[in-house]
Amino acid sequence: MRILDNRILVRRVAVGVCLTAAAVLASCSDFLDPKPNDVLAPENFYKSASDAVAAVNGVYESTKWGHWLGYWYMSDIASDDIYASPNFGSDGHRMAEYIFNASEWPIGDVWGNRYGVINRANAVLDRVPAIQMDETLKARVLGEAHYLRALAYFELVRFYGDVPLIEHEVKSLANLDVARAPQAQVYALIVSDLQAAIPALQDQYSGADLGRVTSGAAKTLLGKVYLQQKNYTQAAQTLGAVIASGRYALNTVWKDNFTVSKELVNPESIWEINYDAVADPGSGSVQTLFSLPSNYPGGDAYGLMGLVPSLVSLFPAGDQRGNHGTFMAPPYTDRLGRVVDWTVPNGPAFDKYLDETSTQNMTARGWVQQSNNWIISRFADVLLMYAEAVNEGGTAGSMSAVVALDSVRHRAGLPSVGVTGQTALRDSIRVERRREFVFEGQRWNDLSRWGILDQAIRAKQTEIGVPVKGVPSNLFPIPQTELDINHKLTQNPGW
Amino acid sequence: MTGFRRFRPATPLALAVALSALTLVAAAPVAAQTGTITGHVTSAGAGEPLPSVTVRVANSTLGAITDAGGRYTIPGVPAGEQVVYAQRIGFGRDTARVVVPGGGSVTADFALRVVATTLAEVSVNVGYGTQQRRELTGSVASVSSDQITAQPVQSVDQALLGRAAGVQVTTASGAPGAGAAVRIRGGNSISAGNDPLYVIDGVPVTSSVNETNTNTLVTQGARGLNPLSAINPDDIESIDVLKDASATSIYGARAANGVILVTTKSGRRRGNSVNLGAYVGQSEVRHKLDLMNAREFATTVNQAYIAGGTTAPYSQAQIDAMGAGTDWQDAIFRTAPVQNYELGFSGGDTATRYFLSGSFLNQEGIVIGTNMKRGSVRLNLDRDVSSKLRVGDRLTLSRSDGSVLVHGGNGQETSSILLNAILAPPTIPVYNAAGEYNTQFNFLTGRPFSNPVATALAVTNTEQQTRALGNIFGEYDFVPGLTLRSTIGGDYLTSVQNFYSPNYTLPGRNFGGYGSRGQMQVTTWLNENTLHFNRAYATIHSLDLLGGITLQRSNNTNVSGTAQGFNTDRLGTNGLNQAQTFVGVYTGAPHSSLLSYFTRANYGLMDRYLFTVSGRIDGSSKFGVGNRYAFFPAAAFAWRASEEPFLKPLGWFDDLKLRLSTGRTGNQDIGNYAALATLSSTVYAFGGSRGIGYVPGSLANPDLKWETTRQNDVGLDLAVLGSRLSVTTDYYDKKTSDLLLYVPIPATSGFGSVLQNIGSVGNRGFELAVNTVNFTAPFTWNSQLNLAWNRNKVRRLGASREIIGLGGVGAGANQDPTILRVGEPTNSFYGFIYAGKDASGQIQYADLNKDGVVNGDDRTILGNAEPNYIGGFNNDFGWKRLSLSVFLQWSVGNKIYNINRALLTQNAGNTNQLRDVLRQGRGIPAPKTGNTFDTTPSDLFVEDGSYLRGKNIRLSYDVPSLWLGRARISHVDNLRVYVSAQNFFTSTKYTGYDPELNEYSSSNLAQGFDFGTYPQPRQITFGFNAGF
Repeated sequence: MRILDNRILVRRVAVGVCLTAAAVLASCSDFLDPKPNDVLAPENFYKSASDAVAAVNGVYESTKWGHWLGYWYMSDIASDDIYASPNFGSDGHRMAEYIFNASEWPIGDVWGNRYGVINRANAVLDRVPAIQMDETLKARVLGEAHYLRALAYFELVRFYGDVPLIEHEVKSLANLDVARAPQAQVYALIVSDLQAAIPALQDQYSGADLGRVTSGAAKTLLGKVYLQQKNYTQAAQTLGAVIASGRYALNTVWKDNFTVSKELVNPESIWEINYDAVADPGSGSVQTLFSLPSNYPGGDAYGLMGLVPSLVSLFPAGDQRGNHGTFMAPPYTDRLGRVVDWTVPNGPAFDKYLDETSTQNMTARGWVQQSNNWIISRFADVLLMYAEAVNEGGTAGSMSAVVALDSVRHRAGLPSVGVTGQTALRDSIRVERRREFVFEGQRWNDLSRWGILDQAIRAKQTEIGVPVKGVPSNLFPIPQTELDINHKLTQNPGW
Repeated sequence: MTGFRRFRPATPLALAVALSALTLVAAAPVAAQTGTITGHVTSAGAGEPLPSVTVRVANSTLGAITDAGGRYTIPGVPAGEQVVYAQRIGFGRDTARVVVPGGGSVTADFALRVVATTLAEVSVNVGYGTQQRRELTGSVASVSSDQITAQPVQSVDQALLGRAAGVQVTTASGAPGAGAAVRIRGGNSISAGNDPLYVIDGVPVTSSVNETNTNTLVTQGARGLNPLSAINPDDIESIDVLKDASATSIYGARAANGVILVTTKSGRRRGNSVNLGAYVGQSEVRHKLDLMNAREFATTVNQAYIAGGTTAPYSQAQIDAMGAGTDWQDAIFRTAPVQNYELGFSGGDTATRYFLSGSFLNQEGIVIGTNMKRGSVRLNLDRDVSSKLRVGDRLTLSRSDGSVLVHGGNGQETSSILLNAILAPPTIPVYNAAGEYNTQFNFLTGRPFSNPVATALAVTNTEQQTRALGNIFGEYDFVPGLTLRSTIGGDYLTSVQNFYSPNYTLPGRNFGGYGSRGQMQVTTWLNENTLHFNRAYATIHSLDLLGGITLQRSNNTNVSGTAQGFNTDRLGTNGLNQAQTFVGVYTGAPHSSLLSYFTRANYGLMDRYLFTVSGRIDGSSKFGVGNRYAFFPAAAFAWRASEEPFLKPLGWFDDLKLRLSTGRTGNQDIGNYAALATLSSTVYAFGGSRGIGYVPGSLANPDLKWETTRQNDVGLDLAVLGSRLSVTTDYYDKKTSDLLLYVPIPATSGFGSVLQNIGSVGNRGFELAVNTVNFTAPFTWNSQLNLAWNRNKVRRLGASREIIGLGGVGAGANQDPTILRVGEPTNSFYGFIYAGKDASGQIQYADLNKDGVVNGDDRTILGNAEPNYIGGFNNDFGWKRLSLSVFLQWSVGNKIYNINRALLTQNAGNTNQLRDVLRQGRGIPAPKTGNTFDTTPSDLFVEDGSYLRGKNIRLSYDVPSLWLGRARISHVDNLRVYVSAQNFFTSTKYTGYDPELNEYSSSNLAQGFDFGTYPQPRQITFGFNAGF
């Protein structure tokens, strides 16, 4: 039987028999060639300008799934702002109470999604340069891929620390186990990607290109990267340049940032992940479904989460961002005149993403059927990051740290901060960031950057009445599923 | 080879013609003198003429079948001395020696003695030919048409349940038109298919429910009607199940899971007969679950809210006023009628045989809003064009029209009718005061109430399948014993699926109506050409040689569209173009092809030593360029000890045969492009327009190839006491290697998993079939018992020892209690062990590794869905004109993971619960909102799924012709009336609706789950069969 095992012999026999019948049968290999006629293959793609644009469009698509559910579980629910209501599943409770482990699904979901973005961006960066096309457009496409890859690596390095650094498209099953690279190396790639993106990207887009990343978005992200690295000089300089460019301004009405009809076109918007349930039905967003109180009329409202009471009390009366801004309290009368009362969550509930001018938000909320965007950068963030960078030692440009902070406070309806001294100003900036960006993907990263994650989580665990355990680490764990199959990976200490 | 012209569909015909021409030249006929043998066959003793007796000339292919008068004629017999034998099932074989005069005629009469039916005489379809069972070297189980039609079943797979040793049939659900998971000698595969290959009259057919899936229907896995239900069971003459490698290797790369050969009825040479049959009946659910009433429910909810730190939602006054509330089970279950009609014509003359039939089935489901209707026609023709050339066809057309259970997984959004019915608060009435369905906001869940009655009656979830299946064939005898057969076969299957949810039910309510239509068209054509040589030399050698070539191509075209937001619900899916929003359109056209060469040689020495060698080379488009062809050989030997001179004279054994076989078969049941790197398309909205993107979608695996299963089999066939006791037993050992497995790869690659040839699975087992004739006339009693033990084990999984949660089971939130672990069976359940309750009444789990924390490391294997053994036991009793058949069927040692129970004992104060919850017994947590105990997989939900079931009992009576005459029913030759009960009793410890279930029927990793699964009904039917 051994000889029959020989695949080559088998093929020869097969081909031999085939040949004898070939006079009438034509080619056997043609008959068996799968040649798909309903899917594209890499060999017959990446040929034209429209292929290049389509290739980078695909990178954006992955960011859509990378900034919902799993991402907020880590960036906001696992922070000290949010608690899980009785309606939330056990996963939400574990994240909110900080008792999850490396097997929790968001840990693996966010990781996998980021590397999906990276592989798609790498495919663009590897293959588009060889396409014969308009060089300006080519540079823009490559710039977009550089930005999106940098964002993915930045989100990875903040959450997980050292991570595998992959700079080219994966095309075969060989050498898939990659070890973690030191953070410095990852940051080096992020910075060089953003520096490559800034000159290549346009300042703004319109029409069917609205929503692509701009050079301002890349500069803002670069400033954020410097701030994260505690490189306050370059952070202050980069963010100062964004302010000085005059491209962006705060919205007078804070809620305009979350108004569906003003997304991407309001002056404060720098870059947003665009969810559009009309143009892209079935792939919309779900912030309202998760965060509105259970009972809210007009479709799905799960009432899964609430704001911890100490956060609610942080908003002074008259702050645009407080009642009717970030949260609402029962009973609530909305723009349609509906009086809404609820018990889940027990007390104030999220109002932030409810756009009362949006028909979808008010009367047709369904799973992935909402158009609320996820904001990556807005001008208030630039101002507060700038204030922080300057206060921590960066050189002020045309604007002082206090003026930057006050402009955010004044817009919200608060008086000037009126404090002096680095420590007092630091505390004020931190409080302002918290009030400004509830449920915008900032809080966990801020706490981690400031090194106060453990104390903040302990305070929250005490406040919501669960066992006080603090955090095992200032980083999230490496996903268990990934450790199981990639033996070159190591777990973060504490997990 | 690219220099040759491209293949065109016309070429198989050309090939067939060319082959014929070649062979004609090679086998130029030799003129010889011939004569005719005629005769009369009667029953010994009574002397009545015997029709349907096969009379054959030994050592040739010449033969005839007796007509109604017992007469036969065999022309063209070579002159000289010839041995002629006559045989018919139920009679002993008789032999005569005659001298045929050249150009003249000689008579040979036979008188056959009644004997107990011996299986050894039955003709068995072995694929590309038939053999007498006594000549078989492989392991083949057969199911006769009597057994198939004994029960009112809708499809071939259901008819096999409990009938053949080693064939495990797990019906997916009790829904009309549901498919079943058929496993022959255990499951070999993990990521590729485990279903056997179905070959219907020589045409390998699409049997998987997945093949017709357009992702339109909202039901388990989006799969609707079973494509096999297109075959009317009443048209089937026999089913032969090929089990060992020797029997199956002739089907090569598709044979590893066994092969089921279905042969439909054909006409007889003389006369005409008309058969009319009908039955009507009704079915109902076996039992209901004992759930809380409104008062009990509201009280428990209050307790849960208080324990969770919130105020109780119901006041005592409200509770006092509630009463029992809505019984949602009563609201969705019903007593459902079934009716079935059959009309068949068959007969023929000396040169033509025909079988023409039509049928209509209307089966209502026991859940409101579910049903299936099927109409089918069949025409099988055979024509002798000359003494050497025969042509014919086997053709069926059928149409199935079903309304499928809306069943989309977990309770809320997706509106699973059965889950919602058991979880719905009894405090909510079906209708509101205005007489509309209650779908208002349910504050307990934070979502609109998904009313199961509204979902069942107002939501459209239908499928229409139209199938044309058949072949035309020609056979030419070059010389006696050398036959060329050429077949063109086709299988055209089209499925139209509709889903529409109006604006007052979920999910349409969120979109102002939501509708979707999908259409799938699968066209398969096939050309087969075989050359068959059969010759006996003197009485010492017999030789049977087969060679063939086949081409098969399958083209699939599909389209589906989804839209939402309608001004009116009245048009349903017929008005998708009038929607406000077009959600999407999908079109696809996958295809695959197979090119194969096969051969088989049977050699018999002195009728005692039988040898079989077979092999097939398959080329498949599904695999990597480096592995496009594979070879599947097999060999077998059988020793008919009962024919040995030292045993035969003793007369102890009517049959004693030892069988040995070994061989390899393959499994290529994977997606069409799994070996290729492809791009996926994406959408991202820029400035309100759709930005289409293309991204790397899959990694190439040019080395991808078949799974290979090596199987060894030892079997023994025994018949004693004048064949009143016959036993067939087999031991087999199968090893599947190069397992096609979706192996998770590091996510840092940008991909999740890739299909690779990694790992190995083993199955070994023992099968026993015993047939007895306990009593003969006037009181008759025959029994058929079959038992099968199979042990399945994962042998290797590539680099890892175990893979957790591959089953894709949606038990609660993201918990998948399945595991693949080396050394364990494939369908193992994995989770925590219950360790009592804490002071607050919440569930605790055992710290198995004693490290002080209960975490994922404390999970263990909780049992598996594989039974220790399965069996079927049929008894046929007859007394005068009455006959009674009792068919029992059982499964022992299999476990069921009961997700329904997890949800019904969660006690989180948001869904209805089992009444057991009130008693706070073992494993039931104290009421508290936010209880997440249901999502923690544990042994609390693993139940013993063993059962013994009275599958069918049937009492029938042959009405005497005297009565028919008196009743002035002229022309009726015979009339049988019967009453039949399906699932008439069930003995099980399983606490759910029914133990015979398989929620994830097509999964190889998640067998044995109950998750809102449509239960098997009990059914009673009354019917008759009349012959004219």
